[in-house]
Order: sequence, then C-alpha cells, then structure tokens
Amino acid sequence: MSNLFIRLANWTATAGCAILVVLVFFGRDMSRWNFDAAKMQTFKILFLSIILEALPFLLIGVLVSALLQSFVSDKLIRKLTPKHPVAGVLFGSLLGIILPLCECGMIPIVRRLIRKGLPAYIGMIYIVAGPIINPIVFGATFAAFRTHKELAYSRFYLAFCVSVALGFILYFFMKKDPLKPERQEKPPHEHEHHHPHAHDHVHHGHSRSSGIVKRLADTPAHAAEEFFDMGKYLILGSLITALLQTLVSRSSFAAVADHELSSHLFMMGFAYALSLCSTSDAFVASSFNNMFPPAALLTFLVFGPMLDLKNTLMMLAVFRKKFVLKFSLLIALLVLTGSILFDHMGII
Amino acid sequence: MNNRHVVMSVHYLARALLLGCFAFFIVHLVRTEHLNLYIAGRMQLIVKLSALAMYAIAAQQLYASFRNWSDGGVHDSSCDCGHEMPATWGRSLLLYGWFALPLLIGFTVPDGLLGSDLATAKGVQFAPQQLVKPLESTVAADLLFPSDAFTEVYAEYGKQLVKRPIVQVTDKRFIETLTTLDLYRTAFIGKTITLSGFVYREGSMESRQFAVGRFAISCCSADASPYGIMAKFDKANTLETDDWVAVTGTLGLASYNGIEIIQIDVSNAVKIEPPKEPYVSPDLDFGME
Repeated sequence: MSNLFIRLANWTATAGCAILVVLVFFGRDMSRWNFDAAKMQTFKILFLSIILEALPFLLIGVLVSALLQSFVSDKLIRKLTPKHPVAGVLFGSLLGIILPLCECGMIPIVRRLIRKGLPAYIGMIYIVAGPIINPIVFGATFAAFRTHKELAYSRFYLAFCVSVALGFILYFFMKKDPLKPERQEKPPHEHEHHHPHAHDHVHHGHSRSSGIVKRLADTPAHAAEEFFDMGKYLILGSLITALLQTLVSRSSFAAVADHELSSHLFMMGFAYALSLCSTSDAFVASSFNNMFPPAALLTFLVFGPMLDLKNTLMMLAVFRKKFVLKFSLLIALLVLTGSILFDHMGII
Repeated sequence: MNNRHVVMSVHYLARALLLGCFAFFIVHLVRTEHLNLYIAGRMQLIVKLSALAMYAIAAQQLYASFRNWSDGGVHDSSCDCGHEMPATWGRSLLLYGWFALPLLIGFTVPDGLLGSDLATAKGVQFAPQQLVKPLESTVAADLLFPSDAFTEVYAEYGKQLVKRPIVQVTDKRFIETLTTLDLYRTAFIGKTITLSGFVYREGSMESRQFAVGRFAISCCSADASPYGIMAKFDKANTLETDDWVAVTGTLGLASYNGIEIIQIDVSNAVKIEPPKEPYVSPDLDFGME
C-alpha cells in the first residue's frame, strides 16, 4: 500500500473532477451551486443518514467475519463449497437467499472466506448477486413496482443471468488471486505467524474451553480492526454520494432520457453515484417511472446493487486494483447487453 | 521498539473514543428524536442496536489500550490477524480525523428538515404511475375502478375511500392514497380531500398554485423521493415556501406542463408545526390485509 495520504488526495481529486464533468455536461449555471445553509443541512442529513444506515450492516459484516476468523476452520469451508464449476456458480448466485446481506457487510466476509479457501469466483459472484437475489430485496422490489410486475421479475432474471455469466467468465479466465497480497507494510514476522497459529488452535487445541474463551474475547478486536479498515471507504463513498445528491439537479437529466443507449448509460452512472442500498433503490427507481423507459430502469436496478461508488471503494481496500477495474467493466458490459436484450425480446 | 506498547495504547484509545462517539451520536439522535430525520422507522431498531455493538467494541478497545499501557504489550495478542495500525503519526491523524469528520458535522451543523431545496433537485412527480385509465361515465363501482392484478389493491382501496365523506391522506398511506386518487381520479373529482405537508413551488406554477409535498423514504433519507399534489389557493401568497400546512379542499383537474394532473382547490389552509416524523414511507402492508 502506498502512502495513504497520496491515495486520499487522489480520490478527492477524482471526485472533484467527476463533479466538474457532471456540471459541464449538464451546462448548469454555477451561481445556483453556492453552498448555503439549507444545502449544508441537506448535505448533513444525507451524508450522515447513509453512514447511519450502513453502520449496522457493516457491523454485522465485520462481526460475522470476525466470528468466521475465530471459529470456522479452513477445512470446513473447503468441505462445504461445491467442487464442480456449475454447482459453484449456482451456489454463489443463490447464496444471498440464505445469507441476505447488503454489500457493505458482504465484502469483509467474502475476503475472509476467500482467505479461508473459498474459490474466489464463488465469492465474487456472491458480492454481485447477493444484494439482489435475496428475499428482502424481492419484497421491496415488488412493493415498489406493484404496477410493473414484469420489471420486478426482470430484475431478478437479469441479475441471475449476469451473475451466472460472470461466474463462468471468472472461473475460466481469472488466474490470479483477486485479493490484495496481505499487507506488505506489516512487519513480516507477525504476518507469517498468523496462519500456522490459527491452525495450531484448530488441530492441537490446547484446552478446548480456554481456546473458545480466548477466541470469543478476540472477536471484538478483529471486528474493530475490520471496522476501521472498511469504514474509511464507507465514509468517503457516503460523502461523495451526499454531495452529488445535494448539488446535481434531477431535471437536468431529461435530455438523456430519449436515446436508448444514453438512457441506459445514464442510469448506470446514476446508480453508481447514488450508492443506494439494494433494499431501497427500487423505490427510487419507481419515482423515475415517467421519465425513463423501463429498460433503463432495469439497468439501474440490476447495475446499482452490483456495482456502486461505495462498494468500489470498499472493494479497492480488499482486491487488487486491476482486478476491480476489469471486474467492474465486465459487470457494466454484461448488464448493459442483458438489459437491452431483455428490452428487445419483449420480456420487460 | 521500546515504546511500541505506548503507541499501541494510544491507537486503541483513539479507536475506543471514536467508536464511543459514534455510539453516543446515535443515542443523542434517539434522545432528541432527530433520528426520524435520518432513518426510516422500520430501520431504526437495527441502528439503535448497532450503537450497542459499537459501545461493546469500544469497551474492548479501551481495555486493550489499558492493557498495552500497563503490561507493556506482553499480552498483545489481538494483532495476529493481518491488520496493522497506521505506520506514522501523520497517517494516524489522517485516518482518525477522517472518522471524526462525520461526527464533527453531526454534532456541529444544526439539524434541519429536508424541504423544497432537495425537492427541486430531485424533481416532484405530479402524475405518479398513471397506468390504468378509468372508464368514463359509468356508475357501477367495478367500472369506475378497473384494474389488473397489480392495481387491484388500489382499486379495492379506492372503493373504500370513495365511500367516505372526506378523504384523509394519512401519513401512513400517503403514497398509496395519492396514487389511488390519481389512478381513479374520475371517481374522486369533487370529493373533499385533507392532507398536510410542506409548501413547494417551482417556476412553471401560477402564482395561486403550490404543491403540498412530503418526502418518502424507505430506508434512510438518501433514498428520499418527493411526492406532492398540486394545490390552488386564492391566498397562496400568505404561505411561504417550506412552511408546513394542513389543507382542505375539493379535488379537481388542472393542466400542468401539458399533462392533465389532479389538483386540490383549497378552501382552507392552516400553518402547522412540522411533525416529529416528517417523512412518509411506502406502506408494506398495503393490500396484504
């Protein structure tokens, strides 16, 4: 990891540029963008509400990850995961039905699982499919699209198709471990000892009860480490999202809604910038009902949970940069093609 | 390094403080009842629980800090899981400062209500989900309320509403009621409607027109969408934008930006205090009973 400060400066600059590009693109006059007291309050409410809403899920994520670290052996994980790629892909796509988590909680868990021997492609499809293909999101989507049942169904079909396709692509083409190498800046001796140490506990298990007590006592410590690890990206994502929502006016979108491709691309960018939780994005999408064609809304509903600003930043904390980039482009391409196909085949 | 345990102790202390402050911030919002401004009712429980979890983790970090301080780090076993504290003071300050930023904003900037400012940015829809055109000039209820499988619940709700002398747009069913009024407008024209919300105006409205709006949130205020109904009032100029009002009037139609929308001809408007729960939420039980 290079200097954290440089990276932070980098992000801030990127965010600034992104906002400027949006401004220029929509040609809004700058006088309306002054940050008065009303805007500051709106910004505060949005910024903190995203953090507050994500906190419980992040905490569940880091706690489950910490419990996995302390209590589940690598052997058990390997025994439980399917060996055949078809079974593996299906397992990853549908895991959300039994483990319904949102993406903030998922990333630390998946990192832990991959370190413990879960094939990386399964972990990655879970990150992509899990936030959509789960019972809570089913409920929310149908509530929001009561009058548009095909759109609600299409969301799940398309999410499933995309994640299955992604799974096979990753299975055949992903050669390297997508995880960042474990912390080079760390004094090497501690890192080296970590895994053998964990194995010692599992295999030799001194006195069993003291082992459990110690491992339970370790859980909040692991959780705190992961919280500070992931939390910084959550805060950055929330900050940019809140700024965009406060400053960029929705009426400036109308121009792009008319063209097929631009409406899709726009909805993707919009979903990416908003970084909404998948349980609530359906309600936001339904408020666009009159402005955008249903296929573009489908793109929004499938792309947003799979990839957004908040979770890209969190992924960058865990996965290699190049991998995140390729993975993101692949998702964008698959969702776009899928959504346009669904539209032309008349499924929506 | 000799004083490594002191450094670690300070790190744990900083983390304990930050976690404690996050938890305290949530408790503070619950006490002042301002949590309503941030989080939808049905999500509030887990946010409160996360405050508890953070207190617990903070307590553990405080203990780790104390132990590092007093034992010289002999028992420092918590760091065997691939994590590392920031290497320099500068980086540490940056990291903890970054976590302190939302807390700083949280405690210093006063809480305000979401209002016209955000509604303008997000755009108010005056004609939500207009999909079923009611048949005209019929008397039988089923003809007035035509439906398919997915508008059936609105049709059923409409049949109940139309029997009432006054249609109250309640907070609980704000969106559902407005959608029903809009879908089955022919059945409701001339009926008396009451509702409350904030006054919203945009450029293309007449001087006597304003909208009575509410923000709908389903999880947190980042997913807030403004909903509103057009209102026409002779004394509209006595109402400031963003004032909260309770209005009574009869339902009619108006043409707005080339679309025919429903509009309330207001007979009476009273300024009110903003409610403790300013947002409305989609009613997930709607049509399930």
